[in-house]
Amino acid sequence: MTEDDFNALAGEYVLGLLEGAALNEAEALMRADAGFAALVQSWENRLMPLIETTPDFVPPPLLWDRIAVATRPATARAPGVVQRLFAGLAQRFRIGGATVGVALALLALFFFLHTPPEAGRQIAALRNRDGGTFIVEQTKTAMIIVPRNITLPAGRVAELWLLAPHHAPQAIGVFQSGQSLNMALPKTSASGLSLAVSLEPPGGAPGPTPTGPIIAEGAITLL
Amino acid sequence: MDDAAAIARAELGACLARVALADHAALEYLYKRTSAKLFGICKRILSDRAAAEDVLQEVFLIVWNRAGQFDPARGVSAITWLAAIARNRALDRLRARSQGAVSLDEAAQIADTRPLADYSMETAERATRLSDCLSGLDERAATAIKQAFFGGLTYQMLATRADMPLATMKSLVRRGLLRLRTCLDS
Repeated sequence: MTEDDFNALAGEYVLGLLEGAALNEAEALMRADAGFAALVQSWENRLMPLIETTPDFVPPPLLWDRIAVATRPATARAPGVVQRLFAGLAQRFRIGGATVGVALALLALFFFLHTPPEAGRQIAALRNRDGGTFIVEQTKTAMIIVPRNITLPAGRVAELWLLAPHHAPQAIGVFQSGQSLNMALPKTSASGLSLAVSLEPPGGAPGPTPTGPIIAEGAITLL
Repeated sequence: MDDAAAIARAELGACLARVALADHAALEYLYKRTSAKLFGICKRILSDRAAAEDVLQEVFLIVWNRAGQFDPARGVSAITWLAAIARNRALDRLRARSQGAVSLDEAAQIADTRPLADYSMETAERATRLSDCLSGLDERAATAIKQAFFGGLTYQMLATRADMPLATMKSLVRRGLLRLRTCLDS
């Protein structure tokens, strides 16, 4: 590959033009080649002004409440936020079904934060090729993922992704070797949900999709 | 760069550093400062308010979890870093939703649109320069680049849309990108 080809590949990657083998190649270079990552950065700097001058648009006040609930530690949550959240959710349910999943996740998070832990039942087992398993247990409102006989390569973490039909993978948590992960679970009748675990650099995948190999995957059965 | 822009840049960068330490007040401040811009980007790409709201929420959850990955030493400004996350998430949502419901007419107009006055001088200058350089390209290449940027169209989709062999589209865009680089870096 000539220097120009290499540089153009970085531009193509930023634009999102690549598919299949070419995309895999660019993603592998992003992980392994600091020079390529720097070229990608340069292309983002060159191209992002296209969109940085898009007119501003103030989001509805409720949106910050949703983000605050999803990010703030339970003990620090201000009273009133949850009430406003519910009022807003009721409105959103009337508006359309596209956001029902998020609403359910927030409901589950709310109940999770207010419910003491309890024994769970297994709803999935994500097996990897080396005989290890991620056991997924569900309590009333939470999901606990426990790695069994899983060894992660040095310097890598495991990232858990929720896969729903017709949706992009959703990153739901990062855990180190030997750790288990507790998270809220949407109580939904949606079928076809599955979970996948990918190997990622510390801190998780830099972008919105998995970058490392998928080491385990499996369907989940909700109550 | 004007002084105000330099201060704003440094301030947002410092804010991200505090978010990386799980400082929730810093996240709230960052939201106040940048949510209108990022929501504008999400709405622009998705043309669907409810979806744009969902994506904006995802963007701030990503920022909350990954602010530590922002590295000002790489020469990228905080707002560019945030805008790239918003664009990537919005494009992912767009691709997941459909294979083509994209407001390309709007995308095609961007080259003729001068930035509005309420941006920092630096951002406005970079946008004007990019716009000038894009208009110096083969028009088909410039259009393809904008359609990919705003609509998430891949080479295959662009070739089909333009009724052009895939290889022709690839070499057209590749030449365009290299010429764009020369123009912008000169």
